[in-house]
This record gives sequence, C-alpha cells and structure tokens, in this order.
Amino acid sequence: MTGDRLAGRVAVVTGAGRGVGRAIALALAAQQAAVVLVDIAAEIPEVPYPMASVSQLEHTARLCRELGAAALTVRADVRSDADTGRVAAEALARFGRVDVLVNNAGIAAPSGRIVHEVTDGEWAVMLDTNLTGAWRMIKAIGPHMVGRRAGSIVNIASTGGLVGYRNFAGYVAAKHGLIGLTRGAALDYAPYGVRVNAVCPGSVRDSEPGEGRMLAEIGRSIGLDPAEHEEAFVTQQPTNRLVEAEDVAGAVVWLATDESRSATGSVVTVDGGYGVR
Amino acid sequence: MSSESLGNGGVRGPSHHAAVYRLPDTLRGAVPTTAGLWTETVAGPADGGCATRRLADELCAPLGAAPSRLVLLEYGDGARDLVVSADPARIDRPAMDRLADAVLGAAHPDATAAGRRVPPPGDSTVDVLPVPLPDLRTGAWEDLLAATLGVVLARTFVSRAPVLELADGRTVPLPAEQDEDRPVAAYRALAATPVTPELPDGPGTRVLLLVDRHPARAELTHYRPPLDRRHAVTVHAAPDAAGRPVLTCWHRPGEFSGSSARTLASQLAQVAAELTTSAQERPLSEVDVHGAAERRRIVELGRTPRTAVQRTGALHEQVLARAKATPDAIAVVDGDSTLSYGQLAERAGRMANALRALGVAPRDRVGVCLERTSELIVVLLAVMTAGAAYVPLDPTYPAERLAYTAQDAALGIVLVDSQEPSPFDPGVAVPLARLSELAELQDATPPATGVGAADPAYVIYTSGSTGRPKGVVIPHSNVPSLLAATEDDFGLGPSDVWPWFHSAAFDVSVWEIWGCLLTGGRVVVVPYWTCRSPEDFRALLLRERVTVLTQTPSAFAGLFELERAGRTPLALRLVVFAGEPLDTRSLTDWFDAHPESECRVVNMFGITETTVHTTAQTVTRAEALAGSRSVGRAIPGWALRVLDSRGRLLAPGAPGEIAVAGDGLALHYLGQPELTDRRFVADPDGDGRLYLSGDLGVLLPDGGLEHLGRLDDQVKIRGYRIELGEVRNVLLGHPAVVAAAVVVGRDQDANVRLDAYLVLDGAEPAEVRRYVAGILPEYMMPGTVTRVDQLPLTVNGKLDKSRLPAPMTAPAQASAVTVDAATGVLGEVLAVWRELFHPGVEPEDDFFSLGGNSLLALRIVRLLRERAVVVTVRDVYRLLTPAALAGAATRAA
Repeated sequence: MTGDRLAGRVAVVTGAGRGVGRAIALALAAQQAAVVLVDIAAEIPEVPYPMASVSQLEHTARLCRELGAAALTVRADVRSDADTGRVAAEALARFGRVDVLVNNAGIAAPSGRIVHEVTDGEWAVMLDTNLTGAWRMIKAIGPHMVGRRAGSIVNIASTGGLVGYRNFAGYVAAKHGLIGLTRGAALDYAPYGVRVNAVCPGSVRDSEPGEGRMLAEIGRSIGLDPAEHEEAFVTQQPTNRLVEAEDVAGAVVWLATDESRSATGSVVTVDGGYGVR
Repeated sequence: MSSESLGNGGVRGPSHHAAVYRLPDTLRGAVPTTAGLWTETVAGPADGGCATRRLADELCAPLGAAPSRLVLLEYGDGARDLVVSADPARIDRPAMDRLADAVLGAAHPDATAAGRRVPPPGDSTVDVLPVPLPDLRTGAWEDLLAATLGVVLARTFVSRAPVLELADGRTVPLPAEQDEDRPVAAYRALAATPVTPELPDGPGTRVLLLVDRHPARAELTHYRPPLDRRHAVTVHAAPDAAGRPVLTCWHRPGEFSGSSARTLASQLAQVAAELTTSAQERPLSEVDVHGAAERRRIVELGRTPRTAVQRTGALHEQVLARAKATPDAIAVVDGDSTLSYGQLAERAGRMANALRALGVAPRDRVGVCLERTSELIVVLLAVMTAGAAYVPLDPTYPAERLAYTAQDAALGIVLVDSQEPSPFDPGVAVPLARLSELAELQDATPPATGVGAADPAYVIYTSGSTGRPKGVVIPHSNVPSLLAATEDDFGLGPSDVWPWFHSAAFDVSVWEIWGCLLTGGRVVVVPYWTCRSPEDFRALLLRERVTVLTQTPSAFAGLFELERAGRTPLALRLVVFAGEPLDTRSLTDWFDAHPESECRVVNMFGITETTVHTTAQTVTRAEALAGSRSVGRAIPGWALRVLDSRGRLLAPGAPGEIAVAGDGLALHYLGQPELTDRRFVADPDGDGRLYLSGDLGVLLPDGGLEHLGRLDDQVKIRGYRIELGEVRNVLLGHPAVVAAAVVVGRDQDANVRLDAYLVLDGAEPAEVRRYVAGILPEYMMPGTVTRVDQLPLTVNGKLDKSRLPAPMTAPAQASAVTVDAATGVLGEVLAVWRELFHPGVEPEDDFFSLGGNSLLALRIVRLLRERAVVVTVRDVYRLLTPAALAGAATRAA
C-alpha cells in the first residue's frame, strides 16, 4: 500500500536485511519515509544459521528507493554500544532527524533445548541481541527524540513475549523482557511526546522475495522437516494461514504515524488469533 | 479501441456487464427519482484521476443478488455519469439502455455528449486509433474481426497456443503455415466458418471475440462486457452512435500482460486495415502486422548506439601500440614466468618475420595447435603481425577433428608442439622449436603487411548442434569494437588481472586474451589441468589477485561450491558469464558472500558469429530473486531482432529466431558461400547485414533479450511445441535441483519424449517429478527423470549430451505398483480404464495416447468413486497412467 502518511519523516529499522525487517522498511518507504536500514550483515558464531548479507541489505535499500524513498544502509551490531552510537550519528548526519525507531533485529536460535541445558554463551547472545539490543538503540536515539519532543519507537517482540514456548526459554525470556522494556520506557518518555509500543507477530511466513528464514529456523530448532514446517505451524493458526511479514509491517506503519498518537506502552498482537485460544 | 485489465476477481462463469452513460448537459438539475438509484459525489472533475478510479471501481464492482444496479456519479465540475451494472443472462445491452432511460429520459437524440470522451477506466488503459471497418449491418463485419484476430494471434501469440472463441463456444480456425501462402480472401473465408472444438477446455490461451450489433446511443461512453475467467483476453466490438465500430480489449494481467495487450491492440488496428484495403488475392504472408512506425520502434528498441570510445586499426596493431606506451607493464603471467608488453611485442615481431620466412603471406591462414602457455599468446600475436589470420586448434581435441579442421581451413602451415607427436601432415606441421630458432635470427620490427581492420584476424570453428564444424571468419575491427562497447561500462584497465581459462579454440578466449591486452591488463595463463580442478583454480585466482573472471555457468558451479565454505576472500570485481544460459536464481548465495557493490556480475549472451558477446545484463539480487532470464540489451554497436520462421520481424514478447546486426558480425563461413548467404542476409530494416543465429529468443518490452535456447531445442511432441529450456528452467525451480539438463529421447516404440537429468541435493527424482507436474502442462512433462552426480561437460565447459547416461525408464514406484496388478487399487483403476477405452489397457498406458479427454477424465473419476477409490481430474491429467493414478489414489472411508 502506498501513500504519504510518513512524508518528511525519517525511520531507523534494525534487522532490515530481510524478512520482517525488509517488509517494515518497504512499508515505511511506501509511505514516503526516508529509511535508515541497519543490519549486522555478518555472522554471529553462536547462531546456528546465517545472518543477512550485505547484498540482502543493499537489496532492501534498492527496493525502498524504487518506491521513491531515500535509503541509507548501516552495518551495525545491536550488541555493540559503539555500533548503535554510530547508527544514530550516521542517521542524523544524513537526514538531520529521526522520527521512528523500529527495533526489529532479533535471532530465533540457539534454541530448542530444555531450559537447564542452555549454555551461558547461548543465553547471553539471545538476551544481548533480542532484549539489550533494543535498549541500546533506545539509548542511542532516545535523547534525540526527547530533545525534539516527538518520536515513535516500535519494538518487534513476539507471541513469545506473551506466552511460553517449550524449549525456547531464552527467546521467551528476551521477548517478555522486551515488552517490559516497552512499558517502562513508555512511561519514562510519555511526558516528552515520545511513544514506545510493541508489536507481537505470530508465525510469520518466510516469503521468497522477503528472503525471511525465521520460521524455518524456529521449525528446525524443534526438529521440523524444512519441507513441512509451514504446515505444522498453520495447524496452530485459528485463521488457517500464516501471518505475512506485510501484515506485521502494517501495524508498524500505524504505530509510526501520528494516527496512533494516543497509543503508548501498548502491545499490538498480529498473530492470526494464535494467542486468544 | 482501448485495452483494460479485467477486474473480475475470483468470480466463476461470466460476470455482470456494465455500461456508463454520460448525462447530457441539457439534462440539468435533479434526475428523476428512480427506485434503486444510488447517487454518489466524486471529488474533482470528470477527467481527473479520482473520477477515473471511481469509475473503474464502479465498472468492476460485482453485482449483488439483484439483476441490476444503477449508480449516478456526480463529479466536481457538474458532469454526471450513470453506471448501469446488470446480469447479462437477464438484462442484455438494449435492456440496459432502457434501464438508463429512466434516468436519462426517453429520448434526446441531439445529446451533446457524443463528441466527449470519458477516459476509459483502469491504469493499464491504452488508446489506439479507431479501426475503419466496412458496413456494420452486413455479416462480413464479424467475420473480418475473426480473421483479423486470427492473423494477429497466429503471427505474434502462437507460442501461447491461442484459441479464438466466439460467444457461442465455437472456435475460429487460425491460419496454418500453408494458409500463409494462400490469398487473403481464402483465409477470410476459412475464418468465417467457425468449428465446434473437440475438447471444450483444452490447453492454451483462450481469447473471446464478443460482437454486439446494437448501435450504442450517444451517451454510452463505456461498456464492460461480461467477462469469463476462462478467457485471458476478451475483445469486445460494438458500433458507436455514429455506426463506427469500437473495439475494446480486456485482459487478465496474470495471463496476458499489459504490454502484450498493447501489442495486440495495435496489431488489430493494423491488420484490420490491411485485410480490408489490400488486394484480396495477395498471399496472407504479405500482410504486415506492424505498420511502418511500429516497425521502426521495434528495430530501435533492439539497437544500442555505439559508445564514444574509438578504437581503430587492426587488433595486433592496438596491442603493439600498448607495448610502445607501457613496455615494462606485465602482459602475461604463466606460472613463475612473466612477459612484459615490450617483451611480448618484441618476440611476436621476430616470430612474425620468421613466419614470413616460412612463406606465410598476408591474408593467409595459419593453424596454431599448442598447449596453453604464454608462448601461445606470442604465437597468436605473431600470426596477426605477419598479416595472417590465426586458426586455433586445441591439442586435446580428437586427431580426426583436428585433421578435419586443418583440411577444411586449407591450412598451409600448422604450428605444433615440439615434444608431442603431431596429428598433422609432416608437410604442414611446423614444430614451435623450429619457429623459435628461426625467430632468433630475425629482426623484431613487425613486417609491413598492408593488412587492415577489415581483414580476417582469426577463424574459429564452431560445432553447432548439427552438421560438421564450420569456420567463422572474424575481421580485425570486431574485437576492438567489442572492447569499445564494454571497456568504459566495465571499467576495464591496466590494474585488471584476467585469467585465460578457455581453450583458444573457443571464442571466449578471444575476450579473455585480447580483451585484457587491449586494455593494458595482465593475462594469467590457466593450465589445462587447473581448469579442471576448482580447488587449484581458486588457489590461482587468490594467488594472482584476479579481478576479471569469465566463466560458463557450468564451470563456475564448481568454484561456487568452494565459495560456500567461506574462505579467504577473492579480489574479483567483475564476473562475466558467457557461453551458456545462466540460472540467475542460484546466485543469491554468491551475492551473500560477494556483495554486488564489491563484485559486479554480468550475464552475457553471445555467438561466435557475432564476436564472443552480443548482449550484457548486470545481475543483482533483484534479478536473482526474480529468476530473471533476460540476457540484457545488445551491447553498444550491436543490434537485436527477433524474427518468425519466414524472417518477418516479430513484436516484443513474441518468441522467434534471434537475429543480430551491427559491429560484431563475422565476414563469412570459411569456404561455405551458400551457408553464408543463408545465415548472413541483407538487413531489410537497416543498411548492413543481419546474422540469423538459429537461437530462439524473445525481445522484452525494455529492449532486453530473453534467450530460450537453440531453435533445434524446440521440439514437437504430440503436436505441442516445447522449449527444452523452459522445461529445464522449471526443474531448476525445485530447491533441491542443483543442475538440470533436458534432452529429446525416444521410448522403445520410437515415440519422442523428454529425458531429464538432474544433479540433486536432498531430494529424490520422484519428488522433483511431482513438483514439476504441479507446474508444467502434461505435454511438457519429462518422460524420464534420471539422477546424475554431475552433468558431463565438453572441453568448452558446455553440456556434453553424448556423455549423458541412458535414461532411467522404469520409475521405481511404478514397477512396485505393477507387482500387485491384478488386485488392489490398481486393479480397480485398470478395470475402469478398460471399460472406458479398451480391454487391453496396460498399467503404463498413457491417458492421452488412448484418446483421453476432459469428459473421459471426469468419467474415470466418477467410476472410481463408485468403487470407493478417490482421485481428482487433475490427478488423471497429471499422472496419466493407471499405475501412477493408482499410486496417488486414496480409499474412500
């Protein structure tokens, strides 16, 4: 869907190389926001599947530009203070302002083990990326938003932030924590006109053009055959279909615009009804 | 006439139809209040964007339970449109007029709206000139339109297997090959006799011609005919208020693109005019479907203008000039030894004089049959410096082939390796050692030859898929032209390092050697055995810091495998694919390791007869994800056309033979004047020559080319025309298929069938078979699917069909089913088939060969249901044999 709901605005999206992050970047660009696309675009040794590549990140940028938006790519690791600081600096140097921050970077694995068998290293990388990464980005960009007395921060959590999943303790803890961070930060920032909300996607389909692979990796962590994992997840869905990355992006666009000006500290669930059972 | 996208979403059967009436200005104020009239205000003027969108929405909005709906749209400028939507079964067009009368008033013949045109709705709208047609009240009008559509579909859209249908379900015969030689009048008569089709829902793109004879009233500005999902295109014809026919072409974008619809629309106008105004006795083949302006546009679309780079003089002169400018720069690296540009020029000069001493005269041909070493480059340059053309002979080729080439090229002298036994006549074979000895006594100053840019530089033999190898004679100017076309775009220069990977007898080596030396780069000799070992080759790329790599996709696959392991990064900045079709989808992993910003990937389609490369397409992640098959536009100075089997220009989108014009054309085939005349023809749309490539392709709307394989890869099986490349492409779409080849074979009864060979990673052939059955029509399904460890390659890195194993004819699962033939599900299936066809039906008999059709498929399904065996019609079409059908059947509970 194209429009001009974010014309003149600048949005930073982490984990923009592929999947949900790419869909969010495109949806923001389609509303004429300038986008700062952030991705680690490098491997993390503890993560058992490949991260997005430079080529994938650049492809997202190209797709955004084709929608008429300005796009800047920054390779950065949300686990590093230096990197998140650099994202803020480059975004402000290029566009002069940041109106929207979407904390989408996250990992699905290492997962798939009973809670006491998770190693220290696995626990640390999961929390550091999925929870602390969002806090670091807020730390880097929040002061600028507070200074401007305006801004919208959207944290991409998960249904794993609302309910538990067996053998995903680290992931579930991080996503629950992210919702806690959302609520805490929302109160801190409310007087300054900066809103903080969370979106909880359910099982998002890995689309070919989006190059997403989260669902396949979650499936692999619980031993599902790559050829059949989609079907296994669909059977859990009251709607009998998986969530599309674009559906998640639609919620993000709403939270990014002033249309949602009274929503802060809220949790928007986009899961095809999975969580209501 | 206009063309629009269908807006009839998922509705089955004919949809509603709808008409737009512009309210005359004379009808001011309130309209009569009619029950069921909906009124809506639309922002902006009647010709604004908002109005156009709203009108399109109204025309496409499905009808509710009522037989009709009337909506009055009131625009910001006071204009008003009445949209009447109705169920065509209950309310026909004249009845719509009567419904409209309730609002419009019964009669106002002097309505002023007649001259105004509401822009027809929809984004893909195209307006073309009105088609002048004869008297509408005679029967000839419908027949003329049928003939017009028939000609256009047969000429431009025949690859879609079009079926031209009339409202009553009968079909109009399209002109067959022999009809093209008959008079126009003969085909018009044929088109006037529609027939009842044997298979009402057979394969192919269905086009519906709807003719409405009711003259439209002046206020009717737009009409949307009832549309049916079965038809990719609906052409609607109706007379306007003045009695002139108005054609509207509605198409489903998924099945018939906007650009195809525009082509169809423009050709309908052109052909209708030709069919009525031209002499009816001239052959149908002379009818021009384009018109002069469209023809010019298509020719320009395929042409790329030259760059500003000027390269004049003979090939060797330009290398020697390079040597004069930078004598100390390294030209060639061969193992541990190097050769500077100065040394290269000096040695080539001495050797050229030695060749003259051996009797070589300007414009002679000199055979060169040497191992791949730096010495070979010196020799090739020496042959040209002596004024002769080099004829490369690969010492790894069979002796018989080498002898044939030497004889065909009438070589008076062949330079051979001093150590190896020579396959040539001792009279012509000159060992390299002898030439070198002779060269030491000679002066380094190049001899005067009088040879210029138009004289032959080399002769390369191409095997082609049929017949004997033929010598392609390329003049000096072509290679510098190739560099002028590419050097700026690719940024080729002295800092580049190129591996010389391909045999000198394969013209990609011309690009590797001379492309590098003309731009001042460094050629790294890749020994034969290193070419065969991806590990060793990668080590060489790393050691020599190679920047420009040219590969066939098959050869690249081996290197790519190593890249997945993620080792020390290569220095590559440009990868050129040549020599074979590239499956772009396989490149996403490559881009992950080598971002496009660091290493550019260019896919080039080329033909020896047009000097190595003809087109260039930069491939990025976007092309890879889209599975783009475009090989890009012609390189600057080159030009592309696509022609039909009679050599007539085809519109973009229509597949045919690729023809090439421009700077790259060979002089001729050596000693084959007739073949030369057949393949190099005078360009009817330009001032030069046109090379008919024998390759099948389609010009894309952006001027890019899609290469569809060799014309002889186009096969007919059971009357269907099949592109092997298309089948291969679908096979490659399965994630587990690493490489695929499709060839034409024959079964034990000598029936033609397709044999597929797959390199698989994590799937069984049967699974791939099921996958392609879901995509390909039955007639395109490979008859056999054979798993191989790797595809055999020729020395040039192309698929070697002769080394493919015999196909696996008996699929394992089928034979397993056959065991319990007498009983079980197969027994039930066989009983039904025997009842419907004949008592001798066997488990492996083919549904269509037995005379199956959609009706029989339905009966099979029904009769099996009665026996508590569940299959679908689709299963019957897809699986085709009783054995396979039984394998997929389930027992009803």
